[in-house]
Amino acid sequence: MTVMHPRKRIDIFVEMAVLPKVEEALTRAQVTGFTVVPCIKGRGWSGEWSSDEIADAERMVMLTTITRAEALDVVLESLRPVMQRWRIVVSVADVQVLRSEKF
Amino acid sequence: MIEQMLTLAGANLASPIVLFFALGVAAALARSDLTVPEAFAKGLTIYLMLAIGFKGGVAVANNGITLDFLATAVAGILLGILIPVIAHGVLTRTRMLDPLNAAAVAAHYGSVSIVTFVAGTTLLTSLGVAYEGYMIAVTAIMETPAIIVGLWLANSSLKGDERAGFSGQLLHEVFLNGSVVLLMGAFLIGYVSGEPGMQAVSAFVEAPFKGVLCLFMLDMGLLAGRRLAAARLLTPGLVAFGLVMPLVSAVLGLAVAMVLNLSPGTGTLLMTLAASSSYIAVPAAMRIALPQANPAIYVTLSLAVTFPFNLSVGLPLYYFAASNLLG
Repeated sequence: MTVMHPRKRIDIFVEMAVLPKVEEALTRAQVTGFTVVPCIKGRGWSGEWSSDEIADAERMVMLTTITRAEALDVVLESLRPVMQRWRIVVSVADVQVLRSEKF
Repeated sequence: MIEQMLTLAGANLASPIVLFFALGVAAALARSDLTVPEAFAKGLTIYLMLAIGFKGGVAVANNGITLDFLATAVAGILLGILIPVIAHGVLTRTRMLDPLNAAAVAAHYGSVSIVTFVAGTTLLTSLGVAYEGYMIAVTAIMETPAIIVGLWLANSSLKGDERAGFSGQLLHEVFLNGSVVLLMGAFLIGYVSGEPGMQAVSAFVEAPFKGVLCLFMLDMGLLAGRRLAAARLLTPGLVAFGLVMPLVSAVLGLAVAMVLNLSPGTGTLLMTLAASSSYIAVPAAMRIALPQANPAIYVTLSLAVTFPFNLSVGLPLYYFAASNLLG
């Protein structure tokens, strides 16, 4: 049977303009790996948004990173000032990974 | 005189550029699935910036750098400082917006729309009216001052940590955003390569220009129409502001053009720049430095109200005023 290892996956929805602030916060928390994917469209408390915007800065992306459970608080604390100033959505999920040494 | 004005306005409204924009707006409002693919639209922007920058650089190479250029650039900076202060005053004193959103809107109206400028040059070209190539550089110069004034106005109503900071990322966004880099880069390349350079690439930068602009305007129409369809925060007062403020700014531009004794074509473009409002560079700066302000107000007002107004009514009006009062 394949051995799986529990980890925490953090998903952050953020506008392109604010992405550098999130990256800085992750770097401060010593997160070494993440992936950014584009979002197509959505709707939230501030209304609808779409990737079809004229300025890159307005486009929404999702940054996802996987970390150990014991590092989660450090990452979230590092993100707190960004969350307080800019509109970002952060969620945390329990995931299983195959290669524990990678995360 | 009125007949002349109506003929000009009619010709402008019947131009393919305005009609393709209208098609985009109508398609978006009718919820058609018509879209211009994102990467393709970006390619169109790159082409337009490259072509307009290059042509401006060649024109300056042919005429040389003149005192008029320097005087117009300084005047452009002063307009970029004055217009947001006026806009902010109007929006706050009439209580149309809170000081923070008023500052964000003011920054947009003090800055410029390169696409409106391009539409202005196309109108002048179709009328056979000459203008100075250095206006491309003036366009790039006028993008920035209003952003700084807007943030200063916002900071005057904010405390401590809430204040907008002039971070490295903000300065990077303001001075090195893609449009400005390409516009000024192509301008310098045009200036260095001069007329021989133009002969080498004219088939690329001149012949397809209007067709590409039509495609781009179709996309702009789709974006503006979608914004308009979702515009719930625009009150009648704000819409009126979006229609009247460009006229006020254009009058200021005209006054400056008269003082500087600019030609009708160059004066029209200065009025156009003063009247136009940003929807690319300034929203990006506001998102970084002033996230408390609401983009559903400032982008929608700029893109879905003022841009269509300038394109359809403003441009011929500005040319009409400039051609009668300048030169």
